[in-house]
Amino acid sequence: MPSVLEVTNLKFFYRTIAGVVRAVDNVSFTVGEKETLALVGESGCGKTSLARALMRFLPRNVAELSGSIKVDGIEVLDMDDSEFDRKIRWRKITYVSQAALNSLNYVMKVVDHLIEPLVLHYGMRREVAVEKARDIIVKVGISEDFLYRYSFELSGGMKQRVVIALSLISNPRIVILDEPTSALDVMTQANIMNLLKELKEGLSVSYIFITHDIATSSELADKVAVMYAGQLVEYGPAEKVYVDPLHPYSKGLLSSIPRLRTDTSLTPIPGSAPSLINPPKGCRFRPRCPYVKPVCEEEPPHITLGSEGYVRCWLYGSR
Amino acid sequence: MEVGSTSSISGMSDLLVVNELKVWYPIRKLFSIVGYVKAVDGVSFTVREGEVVAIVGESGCGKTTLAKAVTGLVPITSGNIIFEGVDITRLPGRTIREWYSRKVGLIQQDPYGAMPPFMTIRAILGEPLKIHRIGREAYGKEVYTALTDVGLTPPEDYVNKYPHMLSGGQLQRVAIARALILRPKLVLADEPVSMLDASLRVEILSLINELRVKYGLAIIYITHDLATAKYFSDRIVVMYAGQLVEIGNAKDIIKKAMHPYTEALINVIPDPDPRNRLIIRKTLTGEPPNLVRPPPGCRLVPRCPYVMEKCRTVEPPMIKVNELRFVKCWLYGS
Amino acid sequence: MSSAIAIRRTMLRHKSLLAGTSIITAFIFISIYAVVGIPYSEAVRMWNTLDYWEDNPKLAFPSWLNAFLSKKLPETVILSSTDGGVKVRQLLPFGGGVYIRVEISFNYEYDDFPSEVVLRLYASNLRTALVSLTWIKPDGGEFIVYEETISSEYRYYSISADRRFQTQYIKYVTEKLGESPSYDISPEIALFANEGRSILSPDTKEVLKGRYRAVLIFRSSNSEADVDVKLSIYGKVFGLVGTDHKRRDLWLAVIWGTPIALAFGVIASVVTVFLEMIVAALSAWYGGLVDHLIQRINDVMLVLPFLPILLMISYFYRLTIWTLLIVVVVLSIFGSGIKVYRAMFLQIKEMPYIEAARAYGASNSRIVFRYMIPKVLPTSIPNIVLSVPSYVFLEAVLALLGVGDPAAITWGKVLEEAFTGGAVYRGYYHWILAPSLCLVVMALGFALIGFTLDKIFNPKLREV
Repeated sequence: MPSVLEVTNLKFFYRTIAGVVRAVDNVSFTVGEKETLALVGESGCGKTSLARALMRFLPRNVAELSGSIKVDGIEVLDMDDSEFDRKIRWRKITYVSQAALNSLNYVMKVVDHLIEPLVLHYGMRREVAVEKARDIIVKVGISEDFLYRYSFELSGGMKQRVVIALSLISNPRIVILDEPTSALDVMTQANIMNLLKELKEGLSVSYIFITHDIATSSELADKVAVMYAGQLVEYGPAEKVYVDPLHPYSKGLLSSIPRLRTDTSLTPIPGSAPSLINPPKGCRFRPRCPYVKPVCEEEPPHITLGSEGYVRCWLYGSR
Repeated sequence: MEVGSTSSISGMSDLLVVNELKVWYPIRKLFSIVGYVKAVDGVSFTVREGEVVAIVGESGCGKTTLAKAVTGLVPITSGNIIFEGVDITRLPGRTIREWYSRKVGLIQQDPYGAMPPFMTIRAILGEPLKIHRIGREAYGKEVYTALTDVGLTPPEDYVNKYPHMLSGGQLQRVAIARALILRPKLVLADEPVSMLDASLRVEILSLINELRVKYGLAIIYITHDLATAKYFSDRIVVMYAGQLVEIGNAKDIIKKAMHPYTEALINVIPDPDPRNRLIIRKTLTGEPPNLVRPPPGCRLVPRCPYVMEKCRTVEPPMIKVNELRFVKCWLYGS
Repeated sequence: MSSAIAIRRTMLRHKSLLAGTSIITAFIFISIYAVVGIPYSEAVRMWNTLDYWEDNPKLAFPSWLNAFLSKKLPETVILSSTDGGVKVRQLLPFGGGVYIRVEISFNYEYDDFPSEVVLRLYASNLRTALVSLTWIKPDGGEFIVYEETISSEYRYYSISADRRFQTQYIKYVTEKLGESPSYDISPEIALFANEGRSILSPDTKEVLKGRYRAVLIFRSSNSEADVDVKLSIYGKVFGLVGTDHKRRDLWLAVIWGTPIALAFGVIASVVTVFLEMIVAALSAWYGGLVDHLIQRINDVMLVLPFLPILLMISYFYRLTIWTLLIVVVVLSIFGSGIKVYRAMFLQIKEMPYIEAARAYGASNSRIVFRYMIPKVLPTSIPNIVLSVPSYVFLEAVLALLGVGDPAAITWGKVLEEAFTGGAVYRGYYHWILAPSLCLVVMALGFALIGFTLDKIFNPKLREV
């Protein structure tokens, strides 16, 4: 499968008064065509920073941004801002943020939201753009009539559908979904997940699905990347990670989730995540890990598994 | 009528009996009332001593209003709330403040919003003690015990901190400590973990459960998440559009949902499973009904996959399936 | 310790805060100096006792003005029979009474004429006496300025106001130079001018520098009689900030105006904001009828004009500065501030922590005072600081409109007197300058602090 996105050794640090925050520290992964990568981790582990680095929504206090991000084989970290804006952002990669639901302008009609990027960035004629909007709105499961409604007339679920439509209207290669459903009701959440599943089949689009909930992540994930304290600790196909996780943190995440259909005992992960300013030496999960051994004080190796996928843990390394 | 009361079998006494409770919010236009939002519309259930009852439903179904009514925070339109044999809907505000507020604790959803940002943790935990004039010498000790109880140790590291210096999980622990510091008999936990990370939820719920055992509390756990309700409650009460639609033992309800709404709620909750991505889940489409003018028959009619002619016109009664199980649906009765 | 460091860091980050704080600190030191140095009642008595200031010139400019002028303005010279004068007392034979001769001599080296020359006589045991004053210029020219019979113990004689002397002198100059001067030579010029042709024109008149002698002859039939003389040659500059039309040193007004302005502004602002907050919190918390009532009162007060009401009150009641303060506070509580705070409290009322407090049994008053008001307090501090100068200015404006406390020494009062004294069109700018500069600098200080605090406390303005 040709990869749409290839991220290698990405580092994204930023500076604060307290010190340098190592939000994304040496992260590598690939996303193939029509594939979904779920990025799972606790809040504050750097998931959203990773998304921002990919979209190049950079704060002013960037300390380091290095490594390689290739979209369709083209290196984008070398591009300057205007080139990135012209070629990548909103064209190849789009972003649905946690707050997108509330970012719709209350006094604009749905259709105006949808055609704005087409008319402004692509210079499309209004009539053509409206046709395209009509197309996409039906695809996300809203009746055409709603094109001419104002966004305050829509329910939470409908707004989320409009936001998704907005992210798809420019035919992107990748959509980054950052906690797209955590503000919604359980029922609406399931409806949106169903929609995303259908859209993935219908349009040839890849997702990066960011969530703190490993159960929800399994709704879409073809591949799973488990992020802990700025690093990917385990990365592999869904069949592997959900069923037989290797890294102690992934195991912990899975065993701390209450399951509806089976009766497993629950064991929360003890302790709390380290600060990204001054993470522990060696393995960052060491202070909370039940399998900790002396060697863990050294940087754990990347153990490659299968064709793609790795785990970053001394349990599987030779030493 | 005391629906769902099981005191006769278990022998345990009913701590709280909610009977035909209605909380209607008036809609005012100029000086006249033009209608009501029927947030809670005829709800009856009981909570026994030391029991955990989960109230499950979507947002807007009235479960938070129900919690506020039970805490004595909203005026009640009709019905009774009987706590330890006393009907609190008839008590004057002063008695509610001085007596009932010691008996009932509240844990809220948003740990950040639930703390006055200008008080230290010591002051926050001390407020209930001061209000109820718990002796000064006991004051410091109680605060320390409360913090130790919720695992914030050593307490002296926390007492002088302000809320913004703590993480969401830690703040929720402080909230639990505050809810329990007056040693209540009943705690209302209103979505206590829904704003926390998935990996933290079990920890916090286990803590609440531990303290329940330690202090012999009864808990009303309000949530939209059946998965946690399954693990942390004895009984589940499913609420839809201001009414209860199913009551039963937690394990029974999860094993076999009877009401179409409960069934849908169970269907939509994923377990971590790689096969999830290949299936389209059965869900209810559409939105819950308008609570100002709810449908005349069953309130699930517009969304129900099993809808019958009768459902549209006649509101189904709470049908008793067995001593422990009640369901408000025409599928189970004539 | 750490908070001191934090404050220093904040100060250094925000230079405007540092500047504002320095200004206000300076005013506070001046206030302390005033309060400790001269008690208020003492200061008021001084200010309103004209005799106290008799040795000061009228409407003098600040002394430091001389540093910028090529022609130096004169300082005040006060001479008397005991200080710089020689008094000779002779008893006349055959019980003929007494003859006293007082000769006062002094150097006059200034480039400009004095503003006023006054002779004061303090006589004792006299029935009547004949007095004359002879003026001898450095060039030897001499003339009798004044001659009269006095019968009172104290005689105040302003040479500057002596019309008779003036006309005589002009006649004398005209005869001496064979040409009449083109202007009314004033007595001060007469006394100190060089009597060459230059005296004929106001543009060329010049001071004759050198040693002057004034000789006073006193003859009384009572041999017990005695006399003391004070000759005041008032200059045109005085002190740090000059004097007003009643010879009062404006410095006293500057010094004592400071604590009054500070106290008035700070008390009015703090009390008003606190009361506004309390009323707004009660309105928001209780809602319903209470809210309705407060809001309607507020609406009425909003449309009532503030200043005219104040003026009206002051016409019916004599307001001291402190009763004025109470009236100002009462009139400013209701207003747009309550609307703003009420909106904030309505939001706070819905916050979960309020609900939690109700759940554990907090009473209504506890919720209002312990839970709602402290939440708003940080955002109101910049408001308090920023509204201080408006109250200081309000006091000045009221004084200017004649509503002020007639006894109090305030900057506004000085401005009012300057205004009625025609300071602007008569060119006495210093009279206005001192109080208005104080007002502006104080306002600037509070504004600098207020805006910076606003930046720090108000997250919307905080830089990312």
